[in-house]
Amino acid sequence: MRRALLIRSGRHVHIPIALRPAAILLVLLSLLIILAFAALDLGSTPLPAGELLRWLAPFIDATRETDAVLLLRWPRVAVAILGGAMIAASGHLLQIVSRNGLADPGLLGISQGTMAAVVLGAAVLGIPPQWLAPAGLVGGLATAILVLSLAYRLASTTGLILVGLAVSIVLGALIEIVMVQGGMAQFARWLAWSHGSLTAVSAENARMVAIWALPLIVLTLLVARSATPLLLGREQAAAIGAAPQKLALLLTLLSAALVAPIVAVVGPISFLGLIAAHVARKLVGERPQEALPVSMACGALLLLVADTAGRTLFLPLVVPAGILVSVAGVATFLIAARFTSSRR
Amino acid sequence: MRILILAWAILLVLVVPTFARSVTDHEGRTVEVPDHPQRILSLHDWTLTVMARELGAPLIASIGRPSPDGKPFMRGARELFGLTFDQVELASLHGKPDLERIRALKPDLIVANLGDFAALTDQLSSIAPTLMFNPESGKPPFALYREFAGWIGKEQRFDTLKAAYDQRLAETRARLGTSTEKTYAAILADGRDGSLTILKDYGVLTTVLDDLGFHRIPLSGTVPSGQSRMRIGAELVGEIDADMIVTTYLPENGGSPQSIFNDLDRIAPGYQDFLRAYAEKHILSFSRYEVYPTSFRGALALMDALSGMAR
Repeated sequence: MRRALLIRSGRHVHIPIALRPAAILLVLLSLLIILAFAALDLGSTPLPAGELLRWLAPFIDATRETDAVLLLRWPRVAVAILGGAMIAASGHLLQIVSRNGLADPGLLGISQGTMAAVVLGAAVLGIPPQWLAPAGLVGGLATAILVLSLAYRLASTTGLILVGLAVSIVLGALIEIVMVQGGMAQFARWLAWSHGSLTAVSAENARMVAIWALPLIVLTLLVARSATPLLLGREQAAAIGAAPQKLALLLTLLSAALVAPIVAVVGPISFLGLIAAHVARKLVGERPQEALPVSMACGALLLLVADTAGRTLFLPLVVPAGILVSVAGVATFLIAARFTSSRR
Repeated sequence: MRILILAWAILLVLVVPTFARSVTDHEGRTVEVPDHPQRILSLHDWTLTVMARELGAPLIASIGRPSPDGKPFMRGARELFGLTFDQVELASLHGKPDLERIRALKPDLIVANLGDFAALTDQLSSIAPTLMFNPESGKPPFALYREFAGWIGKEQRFDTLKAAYDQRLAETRARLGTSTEKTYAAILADGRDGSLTILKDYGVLTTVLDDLGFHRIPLSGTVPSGQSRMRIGAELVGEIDADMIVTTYLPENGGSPQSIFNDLDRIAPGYQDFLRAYAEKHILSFSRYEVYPTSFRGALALMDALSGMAR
């Protein structure tokens, strides 16, 4: 029996909170706050901690110098936290839907679908920047549905990764054709974006991501409990009265919506969803209502650490966060693949 | 009276705006820039850094690239002017901008390549007035150069350099005599992957040859509009038959003027028998970042080499 804290409000609201996941989540969130402070403080320009505290404190004006430096830092810190959480949630939901621990928005082609929509929208259709995220959402969603329906026809969950990779490769080729058609300058621009970097994140981008993130993260937490039956498999889920087909579609839609604005703003961050979900399951187990919040906290931490390390450790070289996450992700992917095969 | 004049002079200094000119850049933005910028920061080495350096503009920092030994260098500016990061600051490494470092250098004007920095326009503009330059806008290289000179208040210097170029052009044309009626093919050949690329526009290299009156081969007219080059199959090597073939090599990759012969040998064995330029010893190869960037120094060096061909 799990130790749990029960929060009661009136006769009808009983919220059981398992102590271990709650404690782990608290530790992760505390760590996230400390790292966010460090990320705001670290950079090419030295910034005394006192100045940062003045900037953070309400009703106290910081110097113009501090304001100017932090205008370059806070948007990427905010997007790293929100974006990391959203990508992690997206990956975790896909793993539940596909019942495959290796699923990830990148591996299933959703990131590439979003990228293709953004690239085609910007370079071919001339869509204004503020509409690129919705365009990316449509592309990501269409790709997710395509991959899931193809894998469903194959009647194989392991085939999902292969179908996802095949669709990814086709979409990757399409993106490259568009990139090359625009000449060397455009190619260089898309290439830099495709590495997944937070360098170009502006305050406006951070606001846009926040507008997407808040309702989607709340919705993810609300639907987390109802995703539990899918862990049993579709037949068993249907047997206990759940509607697995509808649930899978809803969660896939949510997964695509979570990842689309991040890909539109910073480019694809591969493997983050994979790593965060695996770490979360190791820490708190499989239950989505416990694992998803932990997964989101892990994703936020990972992307924040990758971005801060990339812009401070190797100067004058600034390494895109997407590359550092990919390096960590490949290792996790191999370990996860090994673990998955040895269980079989 | 003297006090009045002094007060008037001080007042004049105070009221003269620091930002005196409006410039419309290649992104279509109208930007207020200093009349005479004193701290220019360039975010593209072989276009903007090269031009700013040749114009004698107060360049304080430039983007660089890592060399094999790890030390950053400025492509084009190193080859043409021997410019190193002992003379100007490193703004960032190419493709990996560090906005805080750029800000810490306190530029009063930032010039950036549109292709690389379009997504960073807002952030750069929060640091200093920023002008976006598009080398692929389709305008002739020296027209773009003149435009850039205007942006940084160096039109006079440009006009002086252009006049010297025109004069040298006339002298070279006279020296080459009838040879300028001949045809040329500008190509890139890569023996490793067997690719052959026909160049329609290739910076100073094609500009000087066109200005001298050389005629392009018909194949260069088939390069799609909006593109500056086209990859062709090895079986079309006969189509590049011209009186003169010009190409470039990359010294940093171990290339030399001889590399083209090795590459052609791999791509089209026996080319010696059907390319006129080979028989006439008119296959010329130049160090890429001396003749690709838009610069008068590169143009003059190229004319020197072509004059040597006539001797």
